[in-house]
Amino acid sequence: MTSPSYRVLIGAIVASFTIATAVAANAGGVTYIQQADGSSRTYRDVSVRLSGQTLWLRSADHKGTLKVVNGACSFADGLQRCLPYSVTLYQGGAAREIGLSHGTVFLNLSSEVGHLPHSSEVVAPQHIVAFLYTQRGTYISLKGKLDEVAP
Amino acid sequence: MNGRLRCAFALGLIAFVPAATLAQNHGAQPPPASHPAPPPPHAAPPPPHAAPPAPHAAPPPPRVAQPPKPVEQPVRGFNLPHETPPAPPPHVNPPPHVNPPPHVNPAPPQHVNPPSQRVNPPPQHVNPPPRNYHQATFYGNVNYGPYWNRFHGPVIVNPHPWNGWGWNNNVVWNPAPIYWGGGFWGPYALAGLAGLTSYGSYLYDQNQQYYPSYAIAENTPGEILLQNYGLQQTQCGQPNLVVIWGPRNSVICAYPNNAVGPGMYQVNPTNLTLVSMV
Repeated sequence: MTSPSYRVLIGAIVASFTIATAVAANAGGVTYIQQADGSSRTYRDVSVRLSGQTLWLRSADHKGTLKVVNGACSFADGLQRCLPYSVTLYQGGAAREIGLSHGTVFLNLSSEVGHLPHSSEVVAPQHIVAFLYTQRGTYISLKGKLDEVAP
Repeated sequence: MNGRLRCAFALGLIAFVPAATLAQNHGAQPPPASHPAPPPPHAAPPPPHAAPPAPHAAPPPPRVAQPPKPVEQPVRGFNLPHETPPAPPPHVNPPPHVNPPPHVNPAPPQHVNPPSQRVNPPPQHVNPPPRNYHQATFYGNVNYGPYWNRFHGPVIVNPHPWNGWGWNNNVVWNPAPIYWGGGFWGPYALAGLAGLTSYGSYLYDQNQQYYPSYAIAENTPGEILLQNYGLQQTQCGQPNLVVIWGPRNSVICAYPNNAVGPGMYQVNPTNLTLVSMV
């Protein structure tokens, strides 16, 4: 039962899952954008940087950056909850202000898993979950790991 | 023999699983549902040099004219076509019902008795304002309704002694401008206020202006404030209530209790205290 071949097999499986997990953990944030007409697009490997109360989301191809300015940051069930009030898209050498209707940004800057209020959704340590809704009816959601946190 | 086969299978598994994971992570982005966007660049056919020539094989034939590559316009950055041109900001402006505060002495409030008629204000909870006290100042344009410049009365010390921003895990709370009350009472965007059930309103009889009020959301600074003082929110518009003016011309009302008598107060968010009106 415990022949060397089995040990190799088990070791290979464990190593494979370890590598796969590590690769997945380095994937950064995933941003989902749904337009007002229902079309949607998912952006993977989004770089997520938090500087003070400003959130910077950079696309994987480094061609676009969303700047989300937060305020009214308070704490709920261990998570820091902020209200975004300004969104700017930096893309193609231009800055475009996006009218924001409302949204919520949940940050877990602790070392423990946090639960979203009234939800079974959990936010891992150093992770972020954000939901934005623009005045033109575009939904922007983000979930992923904070790649950088600066004061 | 059997062991060697298992070893070979294991090595193959090691090589395959990470590659498959990488392929998933860097795979093609799903195209928009309604916009027939061109295929992403990774979906292009493999280049001709992908197939390595067999050793000792004849030299590859001269490359013939390659068919023109399809014109690909991959979406670079974030695709937000509906967000151009910039939307007019009708919802970001302050609510139209809020007028600039008057500089004349207003008449006594309609719904609130003057402070001299407060019910059971325990003196041990009322401290004189500190000498250096001034209007609570923190980042952002913060207005406190029509009486914004008249809250220089006694400070009702919070029964829960907070040091500085201790009530907010020592994180400075700054109002988010596009939300009612700056987000102090709840994440209510001005654009979404129409969908909320009004929780009464305060009538400023100097100019017959109504200030709407809404129910306080859970896990908000406003709820912490009411819990600390043991206050229970009620609809504004009744007499002899505790009227609390919050950031950005927001107002809520509560039943008076032994700690806070009826009257008008302003929130000082720096230490989560109530400041009464002179």
